[in-house]
Amino acid sequence: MLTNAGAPGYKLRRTAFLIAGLLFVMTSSLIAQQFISALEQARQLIINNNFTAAQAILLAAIHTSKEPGEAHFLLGFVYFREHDARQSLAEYTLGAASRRPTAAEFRVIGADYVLLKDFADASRWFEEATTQEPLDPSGWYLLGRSKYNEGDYLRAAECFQRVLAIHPSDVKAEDNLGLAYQALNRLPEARKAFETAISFQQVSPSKSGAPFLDLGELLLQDGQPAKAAEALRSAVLLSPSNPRAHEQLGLALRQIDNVPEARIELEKAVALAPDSSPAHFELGQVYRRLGLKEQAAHELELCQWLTATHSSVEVPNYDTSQDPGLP
Amino acid sequence: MLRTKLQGRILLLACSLGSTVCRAQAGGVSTGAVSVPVYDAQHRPITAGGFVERGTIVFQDRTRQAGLSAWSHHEGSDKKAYIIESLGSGVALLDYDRDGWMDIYLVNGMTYSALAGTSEPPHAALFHNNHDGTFTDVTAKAGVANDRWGVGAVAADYDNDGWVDIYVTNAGINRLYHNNHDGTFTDFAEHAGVALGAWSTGATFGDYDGDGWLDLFVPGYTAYDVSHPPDPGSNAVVSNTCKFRGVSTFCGPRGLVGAPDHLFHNNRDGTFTDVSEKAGVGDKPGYYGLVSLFVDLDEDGRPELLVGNDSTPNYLYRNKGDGTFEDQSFESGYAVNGQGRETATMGIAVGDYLSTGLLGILNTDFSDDYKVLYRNDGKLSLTDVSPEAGIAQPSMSYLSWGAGFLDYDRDGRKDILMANGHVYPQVDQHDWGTSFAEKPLLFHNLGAGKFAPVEAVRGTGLAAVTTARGAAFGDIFNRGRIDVIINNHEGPPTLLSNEDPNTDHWIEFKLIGGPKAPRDGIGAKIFLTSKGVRQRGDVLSGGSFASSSDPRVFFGLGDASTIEKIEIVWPDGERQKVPAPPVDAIYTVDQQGGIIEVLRSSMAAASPFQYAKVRAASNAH
Repeated sequence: MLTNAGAPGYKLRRTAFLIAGLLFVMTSSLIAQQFISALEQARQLIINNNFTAAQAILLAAIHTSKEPGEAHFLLGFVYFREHDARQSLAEYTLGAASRRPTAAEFRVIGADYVLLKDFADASRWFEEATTQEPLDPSGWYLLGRSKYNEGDYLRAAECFQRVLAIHPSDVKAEDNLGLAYQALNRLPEARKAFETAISFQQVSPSKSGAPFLDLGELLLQDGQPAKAAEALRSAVLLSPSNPRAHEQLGLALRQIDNVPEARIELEKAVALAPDSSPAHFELGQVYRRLGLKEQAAHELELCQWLTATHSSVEVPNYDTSQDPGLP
Repeated sequence: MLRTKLQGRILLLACSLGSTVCRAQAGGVSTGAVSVPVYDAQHRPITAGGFVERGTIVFQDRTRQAGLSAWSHHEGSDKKAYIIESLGSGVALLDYDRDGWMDIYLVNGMTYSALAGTSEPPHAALFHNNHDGTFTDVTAKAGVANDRWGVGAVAADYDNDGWVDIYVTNAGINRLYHNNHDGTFTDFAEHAGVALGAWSTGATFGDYDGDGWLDLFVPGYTAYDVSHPPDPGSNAVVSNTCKFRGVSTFCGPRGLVGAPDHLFHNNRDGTFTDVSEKAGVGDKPGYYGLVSLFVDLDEDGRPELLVGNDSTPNYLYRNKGDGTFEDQSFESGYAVNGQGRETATMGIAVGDYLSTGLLGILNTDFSDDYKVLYRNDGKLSLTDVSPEAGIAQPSMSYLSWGAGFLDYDRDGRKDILMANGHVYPQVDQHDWGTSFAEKPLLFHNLGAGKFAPVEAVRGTGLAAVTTARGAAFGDIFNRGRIDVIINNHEGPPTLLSNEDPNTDHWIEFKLIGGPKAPRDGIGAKIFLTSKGVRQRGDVLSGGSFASSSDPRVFFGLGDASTIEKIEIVWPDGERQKVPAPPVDAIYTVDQQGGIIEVLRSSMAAASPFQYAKVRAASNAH
């Protein structure tokens, strides 16, 4: 006989076990509820871009939960938004122990690798996302960008065409298709794509300066500075805080001998990108042409100083209208 | 600072995912974007392919027939683990025995086993011109084997004795080979005070102070200790710059400590004094100097000083005329390319390609960067015109070294040739559109500032795929045709014999200066007018890459059989009008006596090798 069911001690112990079990279930349920609530709270904070608070809540939730998989996934996303790709990937790896990531999560994982400039791995995970959700255009777009960065321009063009098959008037995809064609030396097709992207925008309430900038740069490289200036003026109008748009317009204007306006644009480029030595050089050259010796000397000295301290940094292209968005 | 950091982060994301084309800094020494690979029909990189079956044969590779193929350049090991094993060496054309024919001096590198004393060092070579299309190696007799880790050679008559001398730069102690007038040389570098001992590169001779004696400028590359080479992560490397496109390569030059440049004033007694600091050309930032050239760019009669630096801004020093120079690098536009980016300058060529009387400048540089053609707008104002000139795009995939303006087809317009070859053997293992061995690039001057690449006919000199470094240009066979001798890294040289079928006219001048100008006329300019077009030619010593070309000045005349005007501007400022002589000949012009000698073309055939055969046949009879 292993039990003594009739004994008074047995009843007492049984009751104690039952109470303990009940308490456990109640506590677990409470913890689970708290965990779910913590996740919800974190999501709200993420939506409000309060990543620090979201991070604290998620770390606490992970600490208390026995199945913190979802918290790891969310925390991975928080780290991604904070541009901490390595931490983000670590969290996704922990999360993946509990379940297979969704297509959206694969897109973030891919984007983490993009931040690490590991485009081969990025493409791998973007491919996963497109396999899971072949009708989601964002996966194809991101895969296209990653392939572009890998130098696989043909595949990049295919990806952008997939986006356009789903969203026929997607400005970003059409514009990037142009960039891929440009990289493939298919310049007439590139120009057509940029112009098509611009035409898509005519009926859109929100317009991007990017296709105008890309078209302008293409025309400038093609030795058509007057036409380039026209496109670049639109780029500057739509993206007034993009130093590259101002720089390229300045270069185009200088080439068509509109030196006073070139000066204005290059001054804006320098103000927006003070660490870019080429912009200082170009402005210095314009000052020279205008006979402004002191200003020229100052800009060229800055250029010299910047190139002495590190390799030249190209005028950056901050186009806020082209935010890649959340994967 | 916070703003910069933040922008950097946004940029990182935007560049990668947004619509922006971001030009990431390549790991090696190019500063441009990664260029789009260009392949030929057989999917070979355009740098090692793209040949055509038929077309005009401009150059033939006559290395073997000339007897030059037995000599070979070597340096370091096959692994090319260190930057010192990658640079290669230059070549000089000079008439050391005053027989009126160009001889060839080829610089060699060094091996580790030779440094350790367990093998013979690779010897430099002096090849005597046999006047029949062939050469004889006279190195041993001449005593110019160098037997140090050689980089460059520049030929000039530094002591005004009428015999050309040779200055050899080394990664180590340099040589100043004084010509003994009997076919031998004696190294006077230590005695003359120009031995240095660091890593010297492409030197140049020029009379910067107008005293009639040639001074010497020697660029410094990096501070390098062969016994403590710059391994990745070692103390010799300031930062990790040991990758190219993400692939591990040798380290540098970025991340290595730069070596200073030196200007030596000629004391007129066989010795020199280092005046670098006083003259303001000492290279305080420690840029990686690879090549230099004294040349008058602003028409004031005094030579400016150009210094091509690897991965750092170039120098253009204006000669102030008081023994000092003013740094006009950025003001002139020469420091960087037209995009405001410093380039990995390897070579310098100058030429009046527009026939305006002003010298344009061509700088060669790394793959992924276009080669930079600067138009001279006067008053030391230079404009990068590479894209509109048609130079930029076709040159992008090549890593170019020696270069020159040469009128290969004698049409009166100066064309461009670049000698090419990569520094990383690893490029052949990747699909990057470039190659370790590359073909030369010849651009035909179309007029009005435009150039077009000349197609490489299979089996001809332009289709010779080599690891070129130094290149020297000159009328090697006295035919009135500009040939090219190229010193290849890890291999025999390449002799590109000019066999273009044109029958245009030409004229050529050897100058003898004095008593107030350098004896060999270095720094002199010749202005020649024919058919209303005024051409300019300069006597120079240095440039290309670590090389020295034929000092004689060549003019193609097209179909013009007469010359309207010839004027020589000597380095001492004297202007000499020379009565126009008959064309198609080489003339020696003395500053005091005018034309004193004429050498008619003795080898009328397009190829000296045809001539050699004819001669051999007649001898047999």
